[in-house]
Amino acid sequence: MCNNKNPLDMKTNILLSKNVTLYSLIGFLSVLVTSCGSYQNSSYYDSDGIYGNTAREPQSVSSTQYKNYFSSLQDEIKVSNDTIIIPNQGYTETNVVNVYNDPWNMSFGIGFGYGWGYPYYGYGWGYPYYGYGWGYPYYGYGWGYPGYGWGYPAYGYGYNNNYSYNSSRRGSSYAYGVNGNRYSQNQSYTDRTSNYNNTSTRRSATSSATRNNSSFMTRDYSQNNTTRTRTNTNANSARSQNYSNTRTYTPSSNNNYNSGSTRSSSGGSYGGGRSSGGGGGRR
Amino acid sequence: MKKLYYLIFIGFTFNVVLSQEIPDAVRYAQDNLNGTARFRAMGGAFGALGGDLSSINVNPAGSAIFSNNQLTISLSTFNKKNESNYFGTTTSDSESNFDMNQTGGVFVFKNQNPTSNWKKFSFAINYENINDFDNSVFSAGVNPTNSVDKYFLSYANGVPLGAIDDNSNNYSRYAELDHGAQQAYLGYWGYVINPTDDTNPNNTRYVSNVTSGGNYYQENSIYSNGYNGKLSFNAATSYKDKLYIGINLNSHFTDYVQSTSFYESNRNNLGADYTVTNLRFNNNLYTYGTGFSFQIGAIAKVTKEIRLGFAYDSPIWYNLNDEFSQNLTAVRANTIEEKVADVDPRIINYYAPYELSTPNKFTGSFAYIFGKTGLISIDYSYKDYGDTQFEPENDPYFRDLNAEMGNILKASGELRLGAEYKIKEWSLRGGYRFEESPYKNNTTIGDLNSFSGGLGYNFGMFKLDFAYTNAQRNSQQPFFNQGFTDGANIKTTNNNFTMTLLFEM
Repeated sequence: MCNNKNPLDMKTNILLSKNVTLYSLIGFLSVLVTSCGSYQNSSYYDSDGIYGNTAREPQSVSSTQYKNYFSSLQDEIKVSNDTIIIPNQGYTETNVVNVYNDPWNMSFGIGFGYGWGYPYYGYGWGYPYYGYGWGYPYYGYGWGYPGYGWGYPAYGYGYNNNYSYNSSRRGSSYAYGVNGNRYSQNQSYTDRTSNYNNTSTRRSATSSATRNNSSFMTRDYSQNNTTRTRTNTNANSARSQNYSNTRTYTPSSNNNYNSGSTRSSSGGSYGGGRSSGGGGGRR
Repeated sequence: MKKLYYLIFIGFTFNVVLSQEIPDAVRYAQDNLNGTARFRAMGGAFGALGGDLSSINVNPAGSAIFSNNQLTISLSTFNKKNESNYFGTTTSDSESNFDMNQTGGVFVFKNQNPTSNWKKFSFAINYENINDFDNSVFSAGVNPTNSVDKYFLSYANGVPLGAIDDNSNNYSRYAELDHGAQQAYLGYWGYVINPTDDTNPNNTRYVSNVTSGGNYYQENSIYSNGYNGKLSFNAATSYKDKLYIGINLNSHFTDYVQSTSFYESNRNNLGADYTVTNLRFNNNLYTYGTGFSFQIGAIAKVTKEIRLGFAYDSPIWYNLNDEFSQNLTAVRANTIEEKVADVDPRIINYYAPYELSTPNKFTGSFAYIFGKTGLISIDYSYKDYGDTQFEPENDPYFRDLNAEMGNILKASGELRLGAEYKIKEWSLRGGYRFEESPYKNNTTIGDLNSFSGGLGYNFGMFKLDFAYTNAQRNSQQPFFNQGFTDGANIKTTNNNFTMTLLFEM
């Protein structure tokens, strides 16, 4: 019994981790984009890498413009040989910093105007998804726990089932790997039919049946061959509702089946039981 | 004549032995084309192109083709329609859902040192749902010869009666049995099968207790739900803007829930003994786990127009867990009355975790660019499904299962074609995809044919793309893994609409 909790926990963690991964990815990307986006140039309109860019580097252009501007100032200064030299040198230096300083410089050549335009775009994306402050209302602990309640019925197991460790492999046969290949034994069973003891107690009326309604059964569609509705008769068959499920059922003519039925001789009481079916409850 | 029939039957069962988990393996080995609208519209033929976030799933070098940073979100509607034909009876079922199937971002760093040959460095993070598992399949028809009793018999023969002859405490004995004996237990307590000698605890022979006479009406419903997510961490670089190389490290996570319900009834002549007239057998499977894989790739700009691409996908190494539950309700009747056995052990089996490694994949690609007006692109991928492996590989069951997969699965190819035509800010796209069957018999899962088309508009700072994809595939999966292996012909049609919003900065 102490093992019962483990699979529950495992599953929930998987579910949690998927969404957490997704949301934190979005958040992370948004942060990255809003914070580091500025290193790229603004050549949006011809930016499909597949077709290649027209060689256009606005930031270089603007920086050379500044460079030319400042150097022209410098030239003027030199020509005039005036005392205004010092403040102008200050400008010149700041300009130089931006040019070919670091081969991978991300803040290269932004230009002054660009920095202002940016927040319009950045915040629009960044905030709604960004960070834990916003992340929790969507996914935080407040919502996490109800997840248990919703998650389980979707899997059709219900709460009353117990977990049991099965040391074999799903799909394997009895005593697999111990018993040898069982399939060689298959060959004989069909021949054994004749050995069957017709006085078996299991076949006679002494067997212990535990239920006497057959509400689990679907009606044979050949008996009411109209549209088949899949109303569930079982309470615990709720599947998660994030998809729509439509079923149409088109009975084709299967005359051989109907005509082959010869149960009329003994079918009185039996037919009544059969019609009690409610529909295909999926469990 | 009867002997011949038995021989054929036995040969048939032997061939399909151990196939229960093979569809499970194939489910993870196959990937469904998903991704951004541009990628889908062009049939996924992006191996030589790059420049799209989904393209890095084909060829990791593709992220170095980007000229700007990009952030992408894709939303898709999925619609699957399954038309079933089971012994001439046609039924259909469909399922739709809506999901964010892709999101990611790429960051491009240009080298500002003009003398360096490494012109660009990029990294990307991308999430994609590479396979949407939501599906529902309903089949019904009249089977002239086979009943599901053969499923129980094939497991029960060899199981000592003493091991299963105890239904005290509400069938709690089920939990103590291995998988094979559990099937015998269900069949035995549902009175679907009977021991040949029910007084001898060492009896290991069983016979059917389903009313004989053939013409069994059968229904099988399969509902599944889940996803196969892939989170890629990508890095790529450009050498002289001629050669692009890249690598992906991928984290996979999957969640799969499948409920199957099988119903059978017959109206054959009853006798004095109770024989089974109808039954419902439910199986629920939940598989979850995580995986890892890597990809490497290169793209060469041979001339201004011609691009070549090559990529290698490693196996995906999954760590998976299964949870499995079953119940059986069976009605047996004689000429006087009927009785019901409701064998519901209310047990969820869980098993030792296992590993699944999917096959390698190689992709070769070619593209031709017509200036700035359009392009055509071709990808060919090759994957040997026979290399799919369950591990631990020396587990006796997995050893046989792996050998069986080597026998029935084959190496198969996938061809993807795509074209794009640009008219100012508009882009028109079309694509075709052909995926060969992973099975040697070409019928268990058939070939896939898919057509797609799409439209894109470039607003400058952001772009909006739409795609429509239609894909068709036939399959014939057995309802059960062994013993009773009849199954319906299913024609699956997928219709998807995808919308992608793409931000450049």
